[in-house]
Amino acid sequence: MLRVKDLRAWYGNLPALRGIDFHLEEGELVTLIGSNGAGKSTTLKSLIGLLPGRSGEIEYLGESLLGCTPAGALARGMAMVPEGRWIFPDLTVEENLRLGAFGRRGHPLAVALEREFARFPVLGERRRQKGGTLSGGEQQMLAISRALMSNPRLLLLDEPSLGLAPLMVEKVFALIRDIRKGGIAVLLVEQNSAQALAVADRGYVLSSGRVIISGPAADLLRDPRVGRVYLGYQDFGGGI
Amino acid sequence: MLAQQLFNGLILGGLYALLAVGFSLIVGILKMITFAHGEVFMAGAFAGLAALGLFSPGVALAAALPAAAGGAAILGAVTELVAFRPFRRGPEMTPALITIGFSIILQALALMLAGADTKPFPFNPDFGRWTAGGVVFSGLELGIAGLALAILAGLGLVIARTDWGLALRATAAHFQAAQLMGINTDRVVLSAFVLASGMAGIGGILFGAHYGAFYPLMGVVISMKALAAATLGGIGNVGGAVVGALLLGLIESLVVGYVSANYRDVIAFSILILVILIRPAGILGRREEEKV
Ligand SMILES: Nc1ncnc2c1ncn2[C@@H]1O[C@H](COP(=O)(O)OP(=O)(O)OP(=O)(O)O)[C@@H](O)[C@H]1O
Ligand SMILES: [Mg+2]
Repeated sequence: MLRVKDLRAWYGNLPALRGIDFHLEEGELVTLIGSNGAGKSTTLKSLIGLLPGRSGEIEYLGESLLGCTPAGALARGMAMVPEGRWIFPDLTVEENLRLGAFGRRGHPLAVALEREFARFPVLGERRRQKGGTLSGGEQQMLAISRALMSNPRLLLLDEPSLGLAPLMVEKVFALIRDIRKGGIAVLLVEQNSAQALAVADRGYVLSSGRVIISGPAADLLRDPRVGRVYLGYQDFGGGI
Repeated sequence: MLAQQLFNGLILGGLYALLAVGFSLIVGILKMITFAHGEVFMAGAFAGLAALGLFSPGVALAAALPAAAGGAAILGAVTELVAFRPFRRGPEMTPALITIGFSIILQALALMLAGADTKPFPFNPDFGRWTAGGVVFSGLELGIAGLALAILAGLGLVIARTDWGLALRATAAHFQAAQLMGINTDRVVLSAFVLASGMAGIGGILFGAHYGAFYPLMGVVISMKALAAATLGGIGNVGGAVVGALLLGLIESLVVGYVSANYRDVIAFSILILVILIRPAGILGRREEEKV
């Protein structure tokens, strides 16, 4: 479904990705893990077209996404939940959700809204409330729900459990399982690698803008080198 | 007397508001400022004046409004494409400097094309005159105030109710998040400039009709006042710009009526500075946390 080869990205002249290779098949749940600054967010932003400075190959559903803006990626069924959620705090919950469907006109909005309100009843109850009035966990649900409004076939999730209370983290991971069961492929970025690997089929460990370890999630869970990542080693460029 | 001053203040405030909402739209979405807005207003006024001369008085007014709006909108689009779009990620000062250059060039062009002398309204726009409660309403004044308020109300509706308005609010809140929704942010910015400039152009022709005067520097003082009004209301907040503009118009006309015409700007701007000192974010503004 998604095949990435030698993906490179820069912030100005500074390279952030130094050649990333990975792939993801239809319906799969793949996780990218790695410590702070490894390049996980940059990878997702490059995939969806938020960063103009990128090179390499991104083949998605048989097409190259390299010339695409996020609008192009959305139209092809790729949506992203960014790190930090980026919900619109001054817009109502319903307006936030309507925006999520902007990239996919032609799909009936009411159907998607009802589906999301059924999935997240709390969002239905608060549909007229401003997004900024929701709790952190509810905002994360809103961000995920907003991305799902576009009926994606592939969902990019950037640290959805970040900053949430343990109970909420459980809910988020349960939700990710559900989304995947619904037939949507998921590319999950997490620092919480133990939990990410527990739900994923396969995983890739990033360090300094490169993939340094990859394999089935169960193998990575037992790999002592991976353990050191989630014990919180900082990425100083030397790999883990 | 008071009612008459209030009515005059409403007209003045309505004219300020047509410019002030443009400042708020542009600053709200780009967090950058244009200094050519007054000259866009002036160019709209002259485009409307040119259209007035082409037609018989009966249809001239109907032709002048779209000419003023259209001429100004084209200039606004050029401003966005030349002064702003290439510098989206650069320092805010670059577009500011380019628009200062634009405003000087446009003033000089108007001087060359139209001459330095003040042009009158080409015919007597007499739409009758009524007296109610001691206030004299001329048809022209009622038309100006009504049109200005209708445009502002329409703008409010468009921003609150349409998909375009939603895209505008999303883009103003968070550029990248809006892109992530599939919004073409460049197109939203361009349309905001077109709308802001079109309203300024209408303001220009209404101003010319109200004072019976068109001249190359007609946009200089009023655009500064409109910017002040937008700041007073809370810059970036379109509703705030309307409130600030109406307030400024009312204060000015009350000062003219009860103190002295000579002091209207001194007193109006003193009040403005005072309000900003007390509420730095403006009347309807909120202190915004810096977005990364
Ligand atoms: N906007 C930016 N401008 C300049 N450099 C950046 C920018 N964003 C990220 N970087 C740099 O790019 C590298 C990769 O950052 P990225 O955000 O992709 O890491 P990450 O793996 O997502 O980290 P985290 O776990 O902290 O979210 C880092 O060295 C970071 O400092
Ligand atoms: Mg990150």
